[in-house]
Amino acid sequence: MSGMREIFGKEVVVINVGLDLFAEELEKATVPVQRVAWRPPAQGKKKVQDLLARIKKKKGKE
Amino acid sequence: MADYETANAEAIARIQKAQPVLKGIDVAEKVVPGMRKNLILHAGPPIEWEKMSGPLRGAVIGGLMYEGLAKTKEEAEALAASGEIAFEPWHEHSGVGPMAGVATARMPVFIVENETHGNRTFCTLNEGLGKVLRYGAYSEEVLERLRWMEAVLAPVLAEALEKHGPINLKTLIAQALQMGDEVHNRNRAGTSLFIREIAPFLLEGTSAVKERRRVLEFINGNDHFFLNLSMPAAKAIMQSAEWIEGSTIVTTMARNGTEFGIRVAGLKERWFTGPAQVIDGLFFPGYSVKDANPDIGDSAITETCGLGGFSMAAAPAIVKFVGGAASDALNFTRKMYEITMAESESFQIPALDFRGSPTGIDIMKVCELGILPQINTGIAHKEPGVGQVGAGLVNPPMECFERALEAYAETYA
Repeated sequence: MSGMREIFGKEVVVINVGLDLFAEELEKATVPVQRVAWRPPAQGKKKVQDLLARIKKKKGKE
Repeated sequence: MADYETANAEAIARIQKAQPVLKGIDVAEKVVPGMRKNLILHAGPPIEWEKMSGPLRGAVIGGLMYEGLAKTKEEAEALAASGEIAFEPWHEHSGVGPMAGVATARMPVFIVENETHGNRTFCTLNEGLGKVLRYGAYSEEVLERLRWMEAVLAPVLAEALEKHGPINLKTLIAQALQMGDEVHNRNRAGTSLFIREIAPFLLEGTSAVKERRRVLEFINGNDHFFLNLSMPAAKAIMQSAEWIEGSTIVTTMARNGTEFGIRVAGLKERWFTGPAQVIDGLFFPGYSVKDANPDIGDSAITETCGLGGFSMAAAPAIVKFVGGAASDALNFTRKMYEITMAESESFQIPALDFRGSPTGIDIMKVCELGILPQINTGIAHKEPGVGQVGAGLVNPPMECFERALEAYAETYA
């Protein structure tokens, strides 16, 4: 990470969105990581996403 | 038709304004709508005898014996299977029952009235811990206690309540939250506050001193006595949001030991169910998860109302009973703000700078974020007659919410 500091000229903090695996690997290398808990809407279930979109669209029309 | 945001705003306004008040005690058959001799009320969504879990079956057996409809376990089982007895959810009769939640015609019930909107709700009186009907026990010791509750506890308390006048339960719950309860699995403060209200009027009672003393000792010896008041209070509050057209707010979460069911304000009287889940908890010595029945009871009405698991930040000591660390209690409450519509104007949490408890679960938020309501609960032994074996944490199955969402889209979109 010292190379990173040279490139950016300052300490680099990584923001990790979603999967923890990337954050864990960086933390092993003592890189500071800010984790953002993110999951795909409706747990990635297309049917539920479509239902939500349908309800929201209906409201938008009124 | 109102859009869901407008409908939900109306539902929240009604929930915020509801004022559940304890009015008195009477016999179920006299006051519970639709109650009759051959009807057994139970917790959770509708279920037939054949599909009932051990603790619910045990409680039905005990209920039939208590009611004088059967003399033995075998007679009760035959009667339950005969089709002569009707089984219906408490929630469809404006009431709630903890754990198995079994109630019969002659049982005494608390009468709670929402003075703002006029709806009335009901709940039996809490029997205490150990071998009790609500955990499926039906031995003579259990039936004898129920008879004492009918003959002594109920009339003695009813007289004191009459002398006292209505007790505002919303105020008592708000105070209990300031004192370390979340009024689902921790009711020590609520029970104490109730005793403070009622004790002076028990002194003025006309029954024998010995009986009044035993009533006080019984309530004092049971930290969960207030649960059977916090539950109908929560029911009275949530019932005020039924059945507001277009609303996506959950008004019922309940389990019968086999299935978990929810009902939604804008989907009148329809149940959306999924399998009752296994509880992750702490077990009493000698018991393990192998002994546990899946999730059971109407007590999740507290969570539906923003109490219980939703207000665990108010009750960090509860983790010694249900598991986890005090910081978990704070985090559970924080997480529940993500799936609710509002913060209670009445129920405040000191550890969160007196933020109002998360109130009004929105099925759209649950489905979109994939965050399930957090419930804390007692664990019943899977065999009838054993009783409570622990307490822990559990969530509803996601399919309840997804099925409700699908029905909502079919109805309104």
